[in-house]
Amino acid sequence: MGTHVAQQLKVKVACVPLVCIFALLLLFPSLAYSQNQTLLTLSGDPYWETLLHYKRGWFTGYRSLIDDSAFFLAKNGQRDRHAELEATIAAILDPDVAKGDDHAQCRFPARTRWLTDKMPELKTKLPKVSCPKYDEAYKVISPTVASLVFPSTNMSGPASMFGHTMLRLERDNTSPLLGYAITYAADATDAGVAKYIVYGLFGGFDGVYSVKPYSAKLTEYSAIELRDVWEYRLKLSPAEVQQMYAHIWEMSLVKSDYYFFDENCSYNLLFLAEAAREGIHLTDGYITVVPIDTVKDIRRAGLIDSTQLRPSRITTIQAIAGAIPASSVALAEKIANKDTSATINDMFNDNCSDIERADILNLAYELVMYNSHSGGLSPEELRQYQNKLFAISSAIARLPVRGTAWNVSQLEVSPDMGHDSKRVSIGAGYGGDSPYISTNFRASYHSPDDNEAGYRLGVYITLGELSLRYYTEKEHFSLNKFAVLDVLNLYPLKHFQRGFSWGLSAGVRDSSIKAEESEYAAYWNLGGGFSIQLSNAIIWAFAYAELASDNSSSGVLFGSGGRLGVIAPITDNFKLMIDGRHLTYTDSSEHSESNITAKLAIYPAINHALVFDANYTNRKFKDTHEDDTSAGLTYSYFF
Amino acid sequence: MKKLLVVTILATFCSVALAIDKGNTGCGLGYMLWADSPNSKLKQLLATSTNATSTNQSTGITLDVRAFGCSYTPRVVSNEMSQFVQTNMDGIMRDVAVGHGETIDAMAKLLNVKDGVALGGKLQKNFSVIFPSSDVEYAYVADTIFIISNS
Repeated sequence: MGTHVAQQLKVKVACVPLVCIFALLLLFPSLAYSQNQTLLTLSGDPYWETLLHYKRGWFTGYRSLIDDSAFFLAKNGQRDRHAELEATIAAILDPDVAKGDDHAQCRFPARTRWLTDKMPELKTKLPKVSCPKYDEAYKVISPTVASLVFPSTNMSGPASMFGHTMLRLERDNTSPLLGYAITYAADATDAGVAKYIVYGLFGGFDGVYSVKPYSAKLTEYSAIELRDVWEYRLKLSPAEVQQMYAHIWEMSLVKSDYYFFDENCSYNLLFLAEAAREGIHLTDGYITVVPIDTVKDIRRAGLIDSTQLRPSRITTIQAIAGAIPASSVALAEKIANKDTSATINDMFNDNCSDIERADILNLAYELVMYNSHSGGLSPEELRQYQNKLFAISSAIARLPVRGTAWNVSQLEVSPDMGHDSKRVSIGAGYGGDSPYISTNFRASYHSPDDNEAGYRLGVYITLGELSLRYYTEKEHFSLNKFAVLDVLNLYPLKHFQRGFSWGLSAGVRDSSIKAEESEYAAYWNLGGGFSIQLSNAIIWAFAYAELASDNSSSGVLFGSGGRLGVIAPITDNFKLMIDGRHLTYTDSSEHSESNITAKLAIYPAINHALVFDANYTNRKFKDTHEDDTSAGLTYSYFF
Repeated sequence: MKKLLVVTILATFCSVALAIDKGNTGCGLGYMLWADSPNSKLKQLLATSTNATSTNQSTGITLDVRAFGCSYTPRVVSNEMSQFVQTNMDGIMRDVAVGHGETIDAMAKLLNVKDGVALGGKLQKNFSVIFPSSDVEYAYVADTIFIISNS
C-alpha cells in the first residue's frame, strides 16, 4: 500500500515539470508559436506588408507609411514586421474579452481574419470576443460590392485639377445612392494658402480615412455640379469586399502624413484594394501619384467590372439645352432666374405641348440647382431657392407626361482610357541657323500637344518637363527648358458657363536664339483672360506678363503684353495648335519680343504622338533686333 | 381609408407646424447650401480643392444624422431613411414630381418595398401631400413617404 502511494507520489512529482510547461503554454501561448518557422515566413508575406502599409522609402528603409503609434501593437512595429506579427498574435489571444471593441480582435479584424486563415491552429485558440461597434457599423453598411469613384477635373483649386478618387461600398449593385464613400483626405480646414502649399508638399497635414454616406459625399462636393463622376464597379467577391471593409475599420482614426504628390488621396486607397485579396499589387512603382493613374492600374490588375458616368449638372444642362429649341431654353432660363411662378403660369397658357413643358421645367429645375451650387446662401436667398424649386416641381407633378429622356453618358470617353501621364520624346529640327537633335521628358500630366481623348478639353497641367537640344553644326548643347510647372486652364464661355481662363508657368530656359551660345534665365509668367469654343476648337486671348532673370544691371526683366491661341482637334487623331505672344519690357520701351508657334499633332495610337512644330521669334532692342525661324519634328511615347 | 390616414398625418404634424420659423436652414430643401453649412462658399475654396474632410471625426465612421434644431424629428422611419431624405431632399422632390428616379429606387430599398415603379407612381399621385409647401422639413417628408408607401 505504501509503495503504491509512493509510486503515485512519484508519478505526481514527475508530472510537475510537464504541468509547468503546459501551464506556461496556456499562459503565454505565443511562446509556443514564436519558435515556429511559419511566423517568419508570414511576417515577410506581401499581404502582411499591405495590412501594415509597409513600403521601402527613399531614405528611410523598410517601414510603415503610417505615422500613428495607435496602429502598432509592438513598440517598434513601424519598422519591424516580425515584432508586429508576434505582438498581434499575442494581442488577439488576449483572454480579457471584456475589452470588447478595444480588444485586438475588434480593432484589427482584417489582421485577425488573415492570421487565422494562415494558421488554423490559431483559430482554435482564439477567445470569443464580441465587437458591438464594429458589428453595428457593419450592419448599416452591409458591404458586398465595391466601386472606385473618380470625380474628374474641376476648375477650382489646383489640387482638384487632377481629379480625386474614392471607394464606395454598397449593399448590392443596384443601390449606388445607398452606398458609403471611403476617402482618404487631408484635414486642411483652417489652412491659409501658404500653409496649404507647404504642408501639402511636405506632409504637414494629417491624412485620415473617413466613411460617409455616398449621397452626402456627392452633395458635399457642391463643385460636383461641375464635375463628371466616373464610377467603376470592382470585380471583388462579397468576402473580399468584407475583408477590405475590415481593413478600413483598422484604418479608421489612424493618422498618417498626407503628401500631395505621393501619399495622397488616391495612393492610400490602393492599400484598401490590395487588402481585398492576396496577390493584388498596386502600390509599387509610384514616384508621384496622379489619381487617374491609380484607376488605370486598378483596371490593368483586372479589377474593373463595369464603367458608369454620372454626368455633372453642367454637362446635363448643356446636353438638354443643345437638344431643345432656343425658345424653350430661353423660357427655362426665365423660369429659373426671373419670376418663377408667373412664368410657369404663362407657359401653361401658351401653346406648348406637354412634352415641351416637361422639358422646359426639367431644364429650369437643373438651372436653379446649378445657380446655387456654390452655396453660402443667406436665409433670404435660401428661401428664394426653396420657392423656385418647389414651384417648378409642383408644376412638373401636374403634367401627365415625362420629359424627353436624355442619354448624356454616351458623350464621353472614360478618363482612364486616355494617354498615360509620363512622356518621353526624341526629335530633330532646325533652329538658330543650325540643325539640332532634341529630347524631352515630362513627369506628368497633359499638355496642349497631347491627345485629348479622356481629358477635359482646355485643361492642361505639366509638372516637371525637361527639354534638351544639341545643335550639331555649332556642336553646342543647350538645356532648352526645364518647366517646373505649366498650367493652362481654359474655361470657354458658353451658355450657362461664365468664368476666367488663365495660365501660369515657371521654370528655367535658354533664352538665346543663337545656336552657338546659351543664356539661361529663370522665368515666371502669368496670363488671364477669356476663351470661347467653336465646335471642337478653343480660342483664347490673355493679358500676359512675364518676369525673368537677366544679365542686365537690375538682374530682372519684366514684360507685359498679350497672348492669343487656338487649340483645334480636327479629328480624334489630328490636332492643330497656334500660340502667339507679344511682350514689351520695362527696361526700355523699345525692348519687345513677339513669337508665334504653330503645331500639327498626329496620334497614331493612344500612347504615341508625332508633332511637327514651327516657330518664329522676333526681338527688338534699342539699336538692334534679332529674329529666328525654327521647325522640328518630335516623336513622343507616353507611359 | 387612405384619405383618412393622410388627414390624420396632417393633423398630427400641423400642430407642430406652428412652431417658430428658424428659416428652415438645413432642415428642408437646400440642405447643403445655407451660409453656415460645412459646404459654404468660404470654406469651399480650400476644402473642396484638397478634397479635405471638414467635419469633426469623433469616430472614424460617421453614421449619425445631423441635427440643426429642426421643428420636426422623424417619428416612424429608420435613421438611415431619415438621413437619406435630409441629404437628398431636393432630388427626391424632383423624382417624386416625375414619378421615377434614383432616389425613389433607393427609398424603395430602405423601406423594403419590392416594386419601385409602383412606389414612384403612388408618390407622384401624392406629391402635394408629401410636399405641402416650399419650407417643408425632411422629417415630415420621410414620415409621409413611409406612410404612403404602406398604404
